[in-house]
Amino acid sequence: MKQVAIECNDIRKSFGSVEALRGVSIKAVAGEVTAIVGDNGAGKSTLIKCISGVYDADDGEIKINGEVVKFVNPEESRSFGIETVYQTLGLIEDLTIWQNLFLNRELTKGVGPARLLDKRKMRDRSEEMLKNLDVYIPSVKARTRGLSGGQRQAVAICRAAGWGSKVVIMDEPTAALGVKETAKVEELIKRMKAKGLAILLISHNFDQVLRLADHIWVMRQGSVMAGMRANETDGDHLVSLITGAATGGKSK
Amino acid sequence: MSVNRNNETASAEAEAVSKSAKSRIQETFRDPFFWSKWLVVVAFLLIVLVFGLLSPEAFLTTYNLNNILVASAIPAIIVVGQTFTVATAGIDLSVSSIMTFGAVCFGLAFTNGWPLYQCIIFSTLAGFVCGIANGLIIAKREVNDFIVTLGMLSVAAGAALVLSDGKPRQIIDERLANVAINEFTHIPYLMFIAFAIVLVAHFVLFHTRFGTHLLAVGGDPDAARAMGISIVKIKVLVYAISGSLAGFAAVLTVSRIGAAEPAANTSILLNSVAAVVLGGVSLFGGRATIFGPFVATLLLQALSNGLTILGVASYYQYIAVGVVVIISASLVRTSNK
Amino acid sequence: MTSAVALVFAAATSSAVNAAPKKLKDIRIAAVVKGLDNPFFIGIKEGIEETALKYGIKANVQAAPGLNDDIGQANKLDSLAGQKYDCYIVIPISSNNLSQAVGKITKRGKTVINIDSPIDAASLKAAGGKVTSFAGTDNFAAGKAGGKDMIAKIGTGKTIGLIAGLAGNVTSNARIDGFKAGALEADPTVKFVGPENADWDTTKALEKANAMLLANSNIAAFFAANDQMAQGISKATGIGTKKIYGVDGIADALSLVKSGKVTATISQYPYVMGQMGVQACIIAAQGGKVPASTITPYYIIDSSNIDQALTNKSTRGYFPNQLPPGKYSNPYASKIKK
Repeated sequence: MKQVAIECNDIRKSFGSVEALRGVSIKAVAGEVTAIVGDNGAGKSTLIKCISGVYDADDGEIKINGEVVKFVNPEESRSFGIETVYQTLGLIEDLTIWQNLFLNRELTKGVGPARLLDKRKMRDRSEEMLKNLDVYIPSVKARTRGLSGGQRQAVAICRAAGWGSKVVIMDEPTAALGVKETAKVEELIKRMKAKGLAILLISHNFDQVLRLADHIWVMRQGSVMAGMRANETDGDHLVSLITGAATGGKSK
Repeated sequence: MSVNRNNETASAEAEAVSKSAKSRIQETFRDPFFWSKWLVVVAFLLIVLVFGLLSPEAFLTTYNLNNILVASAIPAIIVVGQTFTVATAGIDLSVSSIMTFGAVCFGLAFTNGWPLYQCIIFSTLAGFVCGIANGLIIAKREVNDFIVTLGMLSVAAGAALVLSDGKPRQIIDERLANVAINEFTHIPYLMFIAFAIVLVAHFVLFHTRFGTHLLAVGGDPDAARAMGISIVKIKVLVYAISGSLAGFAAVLTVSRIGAAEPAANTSILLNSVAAVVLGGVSLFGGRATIFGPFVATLLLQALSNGLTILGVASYYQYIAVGVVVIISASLVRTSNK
Repeated sequence: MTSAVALVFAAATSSAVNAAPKKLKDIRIAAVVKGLDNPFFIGIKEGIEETALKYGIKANVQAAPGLNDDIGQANKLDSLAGQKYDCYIVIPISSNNLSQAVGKITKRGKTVINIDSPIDAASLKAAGGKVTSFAGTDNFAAGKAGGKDMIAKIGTGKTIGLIAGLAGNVTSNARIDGFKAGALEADPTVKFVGPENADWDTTKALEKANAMLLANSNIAAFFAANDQMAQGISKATGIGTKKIYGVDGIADALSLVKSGKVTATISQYPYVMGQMGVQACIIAAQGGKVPASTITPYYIIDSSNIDQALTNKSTRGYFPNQLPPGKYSNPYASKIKK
């Protein structure tokens, strides 16, 4: 029985008079890809931001590996093992790959104010991190600017996955990629799954969702409409749930 | 399927290894960052060569090269501060005013009998306070850096006039004069001080966490924030550094002109921005070098010095400096994104 | 034996760096003036260049990058100090900023002539510098004459607005103090507003004058420490027919005196200063004794002698008052050997 990596119970969030989340409850299991689908304005982004600490939920609780956690900013959220791969990737172009991988987690040697960056160690570990997920980059010393879209996505994902994370959130990871690179990223996601990470995937691409996901949550207007195993549904069914033409049973 | 993939990766790796040496060299020449760093060195050597050929007995003497180093020392220190602010995609327009304010503070302390080292600390502290003010308003209240430092330019200049009642104070001190005039192995003391600051700055920017975070904030503040870097902390520190360096440079200025002048208005601000751009630092932030602007400072002073020696009228000197800056900046830009 | 000869030779040459008198055509002169954005200093430049040319010498005249760039000016003098000039003519931006550079020149045994704005004696001494001769206007006396003349024109019991140059500048202070002394001597009941600093700048002077008139509508006249500022004052709102006095005698000021917008300018003769500077250099290079200091002439130019002043055009037309309308003493000219 796989462990429930993250569990959200009755999350509520309002912005002024607008109720963005009206009591959302979802679960994601370690070693699985859990997809969240829904139309624009359904509340997917808001939910994700509550989980990653960008927003502070008004109500509800979040459990990581069964334990209730509280956080008020992304740093604290990260400390519980929740990592995010942003749509804009969050990589700094003029910095090298190893610098990006270690951003704000730099390794140093020495003491006190004279702490030097331990560049060699960081480069070696970077190579390990990439190798771990079978990502091929010619040199970690290259500037990120020179990488292709797919390579950047891979680096961003490795960064999210490589820090003892338990939950990796991905928001439209292949939206800007071509066919070949999308395939490579999907392979990478499968390898992450195999390493035991719980992946929360937001995607408008139903084919992708049905390819990758083990479990799917459908959101509509700030609530979860339905939750099901991916093999229990298909594209048409998902569309009808999203638009509200059909109502599905709640979480299984 | 996995076997195929392994073959793919294996052959790709092999390809990469065989190409590595040649392509790495090609890559270096294609890397715009390489050029933006080395262009200024090439330009500097070119200028030394040209003036050296045009008037060797005048330009290439130790005495004259010494002059260039002395003239470059104070601007070099200001330029370090400016490099830091520009690297965060900001700018500090108040540097010359902060320097004047620092000089006035120095003068006040000195004529009130404070020991020299305390006067130096006071001047640097004055700069630090101005810098922190800049940083806090820019970072916390999120006001545009151009506007804030422009405002500080007036505030600091005005404060200098108020504190000094508009009157310069003569500072005659042997130790200060010694630093300003003398040298060691043909290199002026002033340049030793400036170069030491340059070395420390390089070290901080490229070998500490702070330096990496600084470049991250300049390169992509959103990405930096997402990784938990405090933009506020970095910006406040950067402007504090720029202000402090200006306050310290004030002491060296006083040593050179023998007085704490309240209305001194030098071309140091414009030259600092010119040197930063010439040196290959991107005004958009995130890409920086410390040695580039340092060499650029030497270049600008060598240019002025050489033209003076050749007897070129001052009018043409303005044009020459401007042309050099524009050409260099545009050459670097064509290799930018 | 050879080493003894070498020592004597070395001693002789080192002490005789400036002692061996030079032929006129071998003398090399350099000058550093204040900014060339002021016609006054262009007048000095002309005086230096043309006088030098008359003696067959080519002078290198440099200027500071800006009227307020004191470090820039020191850098310029340093650059020239390392060259093989025999004599340096300097006009410092502040009373202290060139002292160190002059010190270096003195150490190399070269001559320094200071004109127009004096270098402070104490800072010069501290830097080991020596100025062989000073030629400049007695700014205090010039201001004083202006003050007396102003009272004669406006009458007693009036209020006069004062506008000064760069804060703390010796020249500006001397002119303002002299003017006040002269005015008080002629009328002990005269009142003053200011001095306000306008940094020698036309626009700043205009702004200051506007503000002063707004605050004190009873100002009867203005005294500006230089003509460029007097120009600005002449455009102030509500200036009407109030009297304005400037100092320097630049072309624009003379036109304004002619048209009546400016009452008078205490004209200096920068050309003469430049001329004297060159002549002093030549005397020194020829091994002669240079007079320690000379007061250069000044004349009050107003509607009574403006026409005469305007006929005296220079070859380049920049500074019409090439030479003063009256006689003046030049102690240098006679000492030059042919």
